[in-house]
Amino acid sequence: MTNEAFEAMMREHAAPVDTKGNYEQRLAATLDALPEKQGGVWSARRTAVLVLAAVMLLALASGAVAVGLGLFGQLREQNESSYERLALLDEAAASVGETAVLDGGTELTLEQVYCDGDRLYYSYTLAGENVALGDGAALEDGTTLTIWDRGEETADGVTCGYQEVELPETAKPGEALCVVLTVIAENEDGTYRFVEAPFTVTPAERQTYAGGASFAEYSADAQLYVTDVEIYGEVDVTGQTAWAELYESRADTDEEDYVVDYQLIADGEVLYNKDYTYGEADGGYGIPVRYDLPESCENLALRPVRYLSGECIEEEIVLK
Amino acid sequence: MMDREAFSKKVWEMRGSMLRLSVSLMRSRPDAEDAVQDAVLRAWERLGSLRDEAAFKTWMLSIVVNACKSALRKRRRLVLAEDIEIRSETRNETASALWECVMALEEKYRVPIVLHYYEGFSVREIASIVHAPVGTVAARMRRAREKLKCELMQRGESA
Repeated sequence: MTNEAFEAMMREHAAPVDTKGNYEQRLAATLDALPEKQGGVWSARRTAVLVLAAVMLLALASGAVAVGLGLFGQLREQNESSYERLALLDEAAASVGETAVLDGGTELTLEQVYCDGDRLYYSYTLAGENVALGDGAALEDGTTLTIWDRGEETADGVTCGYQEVELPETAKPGEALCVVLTVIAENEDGTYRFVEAPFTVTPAERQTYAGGASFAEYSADAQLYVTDVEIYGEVDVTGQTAWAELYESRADTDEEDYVVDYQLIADGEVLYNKDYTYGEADGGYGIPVRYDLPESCENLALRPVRYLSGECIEEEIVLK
Repeated sequence: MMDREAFSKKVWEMRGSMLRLSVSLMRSRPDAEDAVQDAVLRAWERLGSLRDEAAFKTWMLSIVVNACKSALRKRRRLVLAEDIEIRSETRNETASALWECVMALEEKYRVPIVLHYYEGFSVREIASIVHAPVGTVAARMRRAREKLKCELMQRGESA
């Protein structure tokens, strides 16, 4: 079968799915029953400040010994893509257990924290009526920390959850950082008040691996960081302006077989990049990479994946 | 931020896409419908994480993928190919046979094929939906096409 015949067949016979009947009725009912809680909530004025004194030296976090499953471990069932990382986090995170009693009797407990200088992970429990943890954390200066992952379960009026947020590049291992969580509480008149709960974290040290390689078409330089829960970093690809333009435009192409991704090879184990964001492109381009922790970090190499031809073993970058 | 009415309208418009993607992962119509319901509720709870409303469809489908995978992990049960109920909804024998071949692919090949050929997404959009790098999706698409072609030709010869 030729490619043309295959494509034509797929176009002609990719039948629409039938959505009639019970599926549509259930979906309509679900949409009708959505709670009215999103619109306008976040614009309310901050009215109270509470200081949650939780000063932690997270450089010591990797030595923490978990007894049973902590919240990270309990919540890992919620998310397939975070399962491995949450299991490791449960072991690596520092147990905090600091509780702040907010006005109205609401209790916010910071259960576990882990911070590697790039990402901050925290698990919490929140007990009270008509309260929720806000949309991510912030620094003292108001800089919002983007949420990369989150999970929550509520039972008997107690919410258990975790969040993973991205720290700014100014965060350095070993340097303390003040992070502010915000609890949103609904007043009796339907308005909302925001209660801030700051805490201090010190990012743990991380191991650095680097490597580079030059080929006829391009050069690549990589820097990766190994933490207790994952490996992350970036590969900078230079030498082909057309590649950088394609990378930046995110357009499909049938002509340029450019490098779009890297797999991590760790003692023969192949790990796939879990970072689906795009780096900066300016002449060259940076490919962000993020992998689950392998069994061993003894022999690490990055294997490029080209857009058209796929994996390219002969262009691997050895990391040291 | 998007209000409830706008959210409901967008979800309703893409109900077919959500169901097909869910069926391709769950391989069972009732389970797929349950996963879509779960995904809609999750999406409403997490609406604040949607930074670009123009990307609503890919964002919503990525939540459907996560909801399906959570359900599969919880249920941990095998579903036989005979349980694939969507077969009866296809238009003709060729379409039905094609869908059977697609559903017989491994999940990592099946989902990109469904999103590309049945829903019209580009490789980059698929990458953001399934949380995989573009290169990985492109490589899986190539292998999936080869596997599909091979299976279709074998069926043609045996028929």
